[in-house]
Amino acid sequence: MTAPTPPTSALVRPFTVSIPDSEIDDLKQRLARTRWPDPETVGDWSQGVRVENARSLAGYWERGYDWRRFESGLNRFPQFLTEIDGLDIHFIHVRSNNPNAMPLILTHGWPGSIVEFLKLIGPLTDPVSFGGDAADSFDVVVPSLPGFGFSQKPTETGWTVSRIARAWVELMKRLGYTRWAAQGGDWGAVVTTALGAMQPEGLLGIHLNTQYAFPAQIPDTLSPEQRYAVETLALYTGDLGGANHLQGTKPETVGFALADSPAGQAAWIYDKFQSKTDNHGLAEDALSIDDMLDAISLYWFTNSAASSGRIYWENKSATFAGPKLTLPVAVTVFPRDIPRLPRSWIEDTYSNLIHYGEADKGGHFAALEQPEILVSEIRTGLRTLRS
Amino acid sequence: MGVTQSLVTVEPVHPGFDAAVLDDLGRRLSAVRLAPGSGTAWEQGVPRPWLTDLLADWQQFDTGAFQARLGQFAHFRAMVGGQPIHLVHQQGRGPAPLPLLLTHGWPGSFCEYLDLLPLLIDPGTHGGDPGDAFTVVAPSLPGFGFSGPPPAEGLTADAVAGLWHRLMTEGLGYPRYSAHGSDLGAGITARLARAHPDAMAGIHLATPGLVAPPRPWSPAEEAHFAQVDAWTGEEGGYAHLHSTKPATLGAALHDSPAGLAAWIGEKITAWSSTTADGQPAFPRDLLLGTLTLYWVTGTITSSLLPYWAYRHAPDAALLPGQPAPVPTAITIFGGEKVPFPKPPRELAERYFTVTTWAEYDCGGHFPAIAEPQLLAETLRDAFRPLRS
Repeated sequence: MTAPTPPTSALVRPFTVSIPDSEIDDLKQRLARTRWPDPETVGDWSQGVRVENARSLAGYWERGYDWRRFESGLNRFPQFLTEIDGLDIHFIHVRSNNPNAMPLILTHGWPGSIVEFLKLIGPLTDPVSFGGDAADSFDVVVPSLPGFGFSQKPTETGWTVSRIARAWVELMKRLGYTRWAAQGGDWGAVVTTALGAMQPEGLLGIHLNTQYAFPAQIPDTLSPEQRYAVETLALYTGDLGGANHLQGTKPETVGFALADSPAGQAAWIYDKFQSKTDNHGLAEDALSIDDMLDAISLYWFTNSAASSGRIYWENKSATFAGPKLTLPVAVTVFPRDIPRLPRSWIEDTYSNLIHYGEADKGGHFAALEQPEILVSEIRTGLRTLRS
Repeated sequence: MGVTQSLVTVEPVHPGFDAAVLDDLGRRLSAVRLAPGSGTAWEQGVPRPWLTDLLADWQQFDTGAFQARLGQFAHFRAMVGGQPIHLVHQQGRGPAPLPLLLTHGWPGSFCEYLDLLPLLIDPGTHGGDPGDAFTVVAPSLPGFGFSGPPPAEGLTADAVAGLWHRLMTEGLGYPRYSAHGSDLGAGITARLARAHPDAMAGIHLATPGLVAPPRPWSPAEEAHFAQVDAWTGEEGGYAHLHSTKPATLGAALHDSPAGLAAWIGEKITAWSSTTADGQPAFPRDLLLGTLTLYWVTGTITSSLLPYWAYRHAPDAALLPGQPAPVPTAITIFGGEKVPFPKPPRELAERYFTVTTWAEYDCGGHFPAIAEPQLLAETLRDAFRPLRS
């Protein structure tokens, strides 16, 4: 992290996060006034976030959590805004000291954010300081998706993943990168897959920790791994799909509730950490409470519940049967991801599969849950693209 | 089950809104943080300008006048097997009033029936025949409004139908009665007819939702279920959440009146028919009264549980093939801003002994509110031959 701040052009403006005290006070007052429902009528999580657990999380958010700790940590990374296609895009940009570093753009998903990648930036840009090899150095670009975090919120429709991918191409060009790679999970993987399908000049290859590699038509005969993939995918039309369904159709309606209630916003995101991390019954097994609240606070302070949920509405036609890709693709499958794809379908979809890795732990929020594994997989997966 | 739990008691009550909760509501409404909004259209859900207006009206809402309106009716609190149930119970004015049980749905309440009640109770002074009078029972579903929290064992339509039957027979002393329902209330009414055919003079259902029977389907059924699939995809997100994550959603809606207003207001607007001047047939005051009822009684989360129970209870779906012999009148109302799929008659006949079938392009999802006169006449006509 000793790299000099990259030069900025007129198009790229430095940015520092600074939430006013009044907004932090307002959050704490709202949390103190939270009106909690009666406890759920079941003894488990089958009705969603349990009131007792939500109260515990919100209580720590009010009385124990320190936003300024997170904010100052975030501000140690150079951040910028640049207007692309009519929107200010926020991004972290850290150059490696190694002049041969490979530029890498990392894209988060929903309910993800730049928070997910903060623990990856040091090891990726400065591997030697983290027990790695200087040859594995990356320059790192971590943008906030349009409508997420400190990126501007679209006021018009049409921000599909393809449009976001085109914006990322422009961003990398604007930063002076002519040969670069891309990485992502969740919606970040959809954007990264769109980049892969687009094959813009300079894109060497991609790494995905979510694979959109289902066959367009699920065959009648399935291997056990394929059956598991189909069963985990079905959770999105069932128990785990309500939020996506709603955000794909009425993102504004629920957005008004989440914008006005920090307890509601916390529960909305915590539910996903609970159901999609590699835990033993509680999200807290997989993620620290501070990490979860960093992510939740970012949504709260930027009032982006509705604008982030719109990514589902904008991309209703997106499916887990993504396009077949011919550029170099590296993948890592995390065991508790939902869905979890089998190698066979991954190989069918990515004809130039340069790396296939299976992590021994971790779920859907791989970057947040297992940053060390993901760093190692990104290094290994993209190594052959370095010339 | 102990002896005390089998008792059914009914006592008069005067339900009202807690003043401290109303004060807190006022404070919350003055400190709402709105999402930035994405325009004025409804295609992504509630538009911000519409919600802003609604919240401003809510701040000005005369809760005293609304409570006074509720106070014009006779309210009771029943205990049925340990389950508290609020109900409005009005004796009919006529030579032989027929007991009629009215069951509301979501996001409704007994307040849906306020305009309908006088027409049913006292047809003689409302252009009808006193011989068509009904004695009306309009309960609040368990977990809704002034009824107590739902039973821990769940809130399936079968379970509610069981409570309703004991309320009508053991609690109120009506061994033979009729019933009307819409939305969730139609499902409960249908189960009453299945479970207690000897006690039911007849039932009337407004636009019932019916699950797909085994094939083969008629062309009209094919078309209907294609519409159901499309409607479920575009409009069914709310029910998907209710049935899977009611507690997660409830954490936000219970804490934010703006969130509650958006969640319920969107559905009431979308599902209402439209008046001649283009306004939702669900009057603004009644929408605000409904929001206040849900807020003050703190029942939004528990009101979602029937969806959860339906998904999680085995055998929760009403199955075709064995129609109850109870005479069943069905009216398909229409004209919703966002149309509901309308079942064809042959589909309903797989489930019910359909004696009367009518279709209208008005009334929407809340016919008691949009077309109280039409609904009253429909109920009078439907049950007139069944009174003896």
